[in-house]
Amino acid sequence: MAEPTIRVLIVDDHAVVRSGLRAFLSAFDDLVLVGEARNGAEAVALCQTHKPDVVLMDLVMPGIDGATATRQILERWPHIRVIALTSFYDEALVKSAFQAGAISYLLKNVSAQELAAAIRAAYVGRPTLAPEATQVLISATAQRQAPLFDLTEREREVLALMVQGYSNPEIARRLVVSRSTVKFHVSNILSKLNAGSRTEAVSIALQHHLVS
Amino acid sequence: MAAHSVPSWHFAQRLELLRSANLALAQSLDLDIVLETLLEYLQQLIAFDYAGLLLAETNGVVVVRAAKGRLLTALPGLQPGSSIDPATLPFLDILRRTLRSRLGHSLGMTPQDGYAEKSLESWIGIPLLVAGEWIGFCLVGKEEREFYTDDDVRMLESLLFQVGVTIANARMYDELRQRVRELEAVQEVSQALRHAANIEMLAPILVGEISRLLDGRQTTLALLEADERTLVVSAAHPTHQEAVGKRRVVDAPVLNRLQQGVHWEHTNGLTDTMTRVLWTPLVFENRVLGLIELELENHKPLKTVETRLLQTLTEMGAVALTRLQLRETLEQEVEKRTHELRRRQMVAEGLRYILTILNSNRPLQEVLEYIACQACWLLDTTTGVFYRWWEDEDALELQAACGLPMASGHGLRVPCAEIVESQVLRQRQPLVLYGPGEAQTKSALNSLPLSFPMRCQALLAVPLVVEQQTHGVLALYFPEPCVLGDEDVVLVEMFADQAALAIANAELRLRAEQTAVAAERNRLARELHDAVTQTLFSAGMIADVLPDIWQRDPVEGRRLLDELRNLTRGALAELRALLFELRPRGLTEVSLPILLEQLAQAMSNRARIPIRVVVEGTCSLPPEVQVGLYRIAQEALNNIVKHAGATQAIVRLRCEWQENGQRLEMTIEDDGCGFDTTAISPHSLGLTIMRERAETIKAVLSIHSQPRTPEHRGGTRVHVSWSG
Repeated sequence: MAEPTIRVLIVDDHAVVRSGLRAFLSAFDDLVLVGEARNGAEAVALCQTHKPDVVLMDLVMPGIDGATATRQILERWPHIRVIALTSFYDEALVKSAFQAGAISYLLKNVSAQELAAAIRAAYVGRPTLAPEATQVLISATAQRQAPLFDLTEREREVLALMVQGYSNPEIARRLVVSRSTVKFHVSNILSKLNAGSRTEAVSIALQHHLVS
Repeated sequence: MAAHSVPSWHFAQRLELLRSANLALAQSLDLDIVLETLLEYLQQLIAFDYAGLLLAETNGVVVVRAAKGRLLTALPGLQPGSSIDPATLPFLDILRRTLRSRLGHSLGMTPQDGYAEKSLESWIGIPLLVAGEWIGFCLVGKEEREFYTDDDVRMLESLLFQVGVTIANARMYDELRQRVRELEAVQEVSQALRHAANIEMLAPILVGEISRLLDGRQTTLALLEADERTLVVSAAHPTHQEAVGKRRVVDAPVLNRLQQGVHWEHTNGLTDTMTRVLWTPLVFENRVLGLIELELENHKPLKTVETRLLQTLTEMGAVALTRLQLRETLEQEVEKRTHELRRRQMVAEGLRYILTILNSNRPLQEVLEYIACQACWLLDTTTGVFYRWWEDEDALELQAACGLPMASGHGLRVPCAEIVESQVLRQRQPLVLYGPGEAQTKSALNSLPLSFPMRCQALLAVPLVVEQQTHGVLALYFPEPCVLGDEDVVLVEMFADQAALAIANAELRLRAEQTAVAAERNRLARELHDAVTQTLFSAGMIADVLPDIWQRDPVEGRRLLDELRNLTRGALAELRALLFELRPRGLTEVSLPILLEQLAQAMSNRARIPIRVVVEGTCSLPPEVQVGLYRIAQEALNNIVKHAGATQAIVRLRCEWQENGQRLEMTIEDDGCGFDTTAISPHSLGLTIMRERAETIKAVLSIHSQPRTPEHRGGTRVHVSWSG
């Protein structure tokens, strides 16, 4: 059965990218280039003219940026699928794209086959997410739930004793290590917990259930 | 009974002798000569084993003023200089009361001269009279019993009745002479005392003069200390070095007596083992300054005139001492004030210099060392150390120091002494310790580096508070024992404040540098994003699809292959341009035309338009000018790539050598959309950056732009000219 033809709009402020994407689209029979925009404003205007099925949207552009353009497009033409295509994957950027309504988030290290597959998937309403972007979203969520503070096993032991109110010499005796070793651990714990004092460290430990 | 003296003499001979005696006695007014002459005539007139002339003093005692005879040494109580209270000797008492001559026997058995080896078994005592008042006696005696007769008494009377007046005259003359001598002496002493520049000079002069005028007696000057209880010997004469500096604490009764200003005999001398001394207070306007001690042992009692002399000299000494003490106090006050002023001036200068150092961007350690040295200098010590406190490790780290040997442990960490931690670091109070015996000092001194070479006697430590945090300690170590006052503490605290300022400055600078580094990193990341990432993504896309397209349309395939090659070359050019910027001297190692060529290639790749570079002539540019021109071209080309929508651009560089140096002109021109130079914000499009760059290298920058309209082809032209 003949595949449907997908009408694609390219939005990127870099001429070199537009020219690469033009060459890419010409290689696939089911993908048709309907227009090229250099910024957000042009993108909205070209959507009005060409009514594309899928928009490949760069996010960081001078003037109206990619996320804003995406929101404006989807407000007027909700059926258009917007794929964010960018070289960045920081948390704020990824979130802004999804909040604006982008269906997919791809990085500019994607291969032609992958990009083509993502365009086709978007056309039928299936999202595609670059692994890096996925990682960013997961770790951002995880951090908010339980900060791990990256304490070592030994530091956790020392912290547990600090919570029980032991002094450095007592901790040294119990763990059978020197007093200076304990001090070293304590100063590491303070810096990892970003605590200004022992008391604050203990309070952070209790608040985040860092010790059993 | 016949006279026994010179029996063969005739009366006429005696008369002649008497006459010549009277004549001889009238020849002199000197008492000693008069008395000596008298004894000589007595010898010619009468035989004796002892003859003495005893004169009354004003205090009632009788003093043997001259004596002669075989038994002189055998009669200790009647030696020249001996004084006798007439009331204790019956024969003198009778003579004094009756005022009549007396012939007696057995003199020498009285309690006063009971120890005499011999006695005068026969004697004549004749009172010496002037206008009916007695002034003394003449005593003549013989060892044999009943030697003298009444004739002998009369004969002696005939000589001695006349002599009283002569002796009285001589004594008055003697007294007059004495007075003159006394006055001369006082004048001399007064002169000497006036010229003494300080107490150290005055003291020996005073005791020397007193001793000289009073028979060479041991004379000592002791001054009362400020505690008003301790006497300190300041001079003695004859010179007696061990005595000087001796101290004696005196009790209230003694002080009271001194206060009254009247001399008294004291049983316990200041020097040596003397048990009989005379203490004369040195008093001026009811203030006791000290005393003069005069030896009484081994000497005759003081004569009235001597007592008066002593009193006068002591009073003069008191005045002179007071004058010198006042002067010394004044001088000390002046010196103290001067010292204070000098110190304040030094502090002000020190602070001013520290401020210039603070503003000079020198490394923190150098600044701290300088401050430490300033503090040492002003507090007159050798060693000052800045320690940084590592609270969690309970340690102090040596951050900077003055007066420590080179490399004696910068960065060395030492355990923090208890008292330093609790007082200076926790309570933020200054700590002053002196006395090496104190346990606290020892413990605080343990905070010194191990290689510290100096034995420290005192310590002054103040906290260093930087932005409300206790940063560390400034500690000054004193090699000599010293007393540190509030003023010293305030001074060191001031230096600590300066140091805190320096540390805060350094931290701010570090933060600014870090921010600058971060900004530069961001810029490079953006460059990479704008340039290489995009190009390589595009190239990757084309490479991915090229096989399929080639199969379908070899012509299109070939075109894409060219495109691919351009892209990779462009990426290379972009990377090179970035590398030029990354390397420390990348932008100055190669010539400007090469840099511009590289830049143009990179930008051409980014904008997908041809950018040509045209160079005429060669220039030799200072590094900062080359970098400035490169940045201007970069900014202009960036604008073209991002905003112009041009179809082509050109960079022209023309260099020429003129009489007064070289002249350079650079133009960057495009055929893009242009903009209204009057309407656009001066801060946009990197125009500000270009202007600033131009100003820095003293170049002239001008921008002309023609907005594109249906009638006109638009475009922008950036022109820079520089000469040097």
